[in-house]
Amino acid sequence: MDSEVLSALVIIDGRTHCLFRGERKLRECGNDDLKLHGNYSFLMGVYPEPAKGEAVFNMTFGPVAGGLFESIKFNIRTYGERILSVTPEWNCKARRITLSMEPHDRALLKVERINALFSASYSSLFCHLIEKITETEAGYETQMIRMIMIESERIASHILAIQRLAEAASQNVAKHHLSALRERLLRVIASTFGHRYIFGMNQPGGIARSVDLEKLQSEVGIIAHEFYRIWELIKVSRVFMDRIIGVDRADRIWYVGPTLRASGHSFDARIDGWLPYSDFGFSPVIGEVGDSYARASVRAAEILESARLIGEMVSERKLFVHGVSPINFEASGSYVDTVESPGGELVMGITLNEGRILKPFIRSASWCNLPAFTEGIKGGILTDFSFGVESHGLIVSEMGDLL
Amino acid sequence: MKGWIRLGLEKGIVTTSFPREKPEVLSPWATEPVRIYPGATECPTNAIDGDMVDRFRCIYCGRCSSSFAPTERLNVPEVKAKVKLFAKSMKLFVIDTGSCGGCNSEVQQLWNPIYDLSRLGVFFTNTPRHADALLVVGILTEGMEKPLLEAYSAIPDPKIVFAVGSCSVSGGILGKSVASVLDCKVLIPGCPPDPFSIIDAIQKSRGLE
Repeated sequence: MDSEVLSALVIIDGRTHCLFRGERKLRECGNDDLKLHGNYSFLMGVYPEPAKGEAVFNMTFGPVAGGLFESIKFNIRTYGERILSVTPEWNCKARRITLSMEPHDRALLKVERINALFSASYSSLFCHLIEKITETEAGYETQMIRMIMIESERIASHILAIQRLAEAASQNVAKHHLSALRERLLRVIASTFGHRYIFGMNQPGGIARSVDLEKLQSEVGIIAHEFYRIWELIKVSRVFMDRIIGVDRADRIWYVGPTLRASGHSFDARIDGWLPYSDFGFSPVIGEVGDSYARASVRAAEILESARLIGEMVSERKLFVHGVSPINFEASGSYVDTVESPGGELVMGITLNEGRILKPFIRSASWCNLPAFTEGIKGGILTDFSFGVESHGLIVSEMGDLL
Repeated sequence: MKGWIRLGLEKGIVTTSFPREKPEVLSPWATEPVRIYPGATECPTNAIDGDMVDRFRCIYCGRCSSSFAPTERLNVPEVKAKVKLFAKSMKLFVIDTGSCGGCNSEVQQLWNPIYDLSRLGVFFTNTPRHADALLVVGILTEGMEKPLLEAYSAIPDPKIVFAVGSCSVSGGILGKSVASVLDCKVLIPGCPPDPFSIIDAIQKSRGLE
């Protein structure tokens, strides 16, 4: 079933190539075949025509607004209360990130900065692609560190998403507790990996800094426990629950991450992926219903699961000395792979030629899940808007493609 | 309700004593690198010249770590103008012109109970009309130049523009700096700058050393 899910569309040399879920090779396709897939136009960045009708008017939200974490513009069509359609303009702050013809080490710096909140996922996947093309053995220890970094940023990112949802629902006490908890985690990440957003740790073939994970292990355990207490308290609030239950239902097989799993689908790129999650008994968290509450619940459970994974991984080994395997940069080739970033499955592909990057592309989790918001919020009321948008944990900076 | 009160009491006071005292902790590679060993070092942004590091061009990537180490001290901002009128109260309007999300996150963290910027009389505002200062994060992208200039002109005089982070200060490795179109009076280095460094720059811009 998953192999029938259209995962990414890439235009290379003027021709459309597609990638189906679970596959690692781009196929050249005719557009007519692809148009049968429900997400074809969304992957191309084309959204349905805005709603029209008597007394329907356009309400603009963004790109610069106090309630938005990043710059994005939404055109909301309404006749006063009910949301009839939402058309996003995601490219207000689109950066033209050019990787083509860049040497791999400079390209890595740019890749880390596509989305700082998922930086470890991006850099780990990029390094993995380089390693595959150059046939470099990164080693099991490097993969362990990469998993620990990705799970650490998953906890930080999920806390931020739930914190922003609490803020949208006017739960300011909860918001401040969560925000302080996230700060505690960012500080321990900084002391462990040298940077609050894990910049500069990954390198093709290894890791750039030595790390001692003992403090991270104990702190993550405490943070997960405290998070659970806060989450149990939030759920008691009728104000919070009434605002998010039943809001912005999203149930399509082609969504990714917590948005997908909250509607009962089990797809998670950590299963059968290139990182050895199966050695630590990982199983995905699956929700039901697919509303804003379900997404928050999946995130809450994933925080606990990530903390468990970090605990088990660090129990095996606490100290990692930096080291990088030699890389054959005369190797050339192309490779495509995925990683489960905090927002969901991230797809990236590159071609390497004499150490320089060619034809790079990404399909980010937010690119896949933006339609989940715009489609799910239809029929809701204007008050639901912020609960819907925050529950998906969308990151605008990762929308768009690479040059 | 009782649960929240109990949780709050258990936590006690978590707010930092900064700026009265030194920062409790700083993110190492958010602070300026300083040479510790001799030797040639390649810098992706050409921020290194001999022993000197241009802290505004630096993206704090750590590629120079064979010869340089982070100081783990507050980054020194460049404050070209101070407005003492804002010493008692200052309202900030934040605009993202092309950020990776790192600077946005650090600016958001300033309002958590640990940094609690409001205790220093500094507040967020949701409209530039009510703002005293503009905090700009990210490189300058084509789509955000007009909204940036509109937000700037909507802020009443006197006003200050803060360029927060390497991208808005120098363009970093991703593009054009905000300082190229706006007269930024305060430049805060870092990729992203540590929250303590942002607080320090805000205080200095108000004449509060």
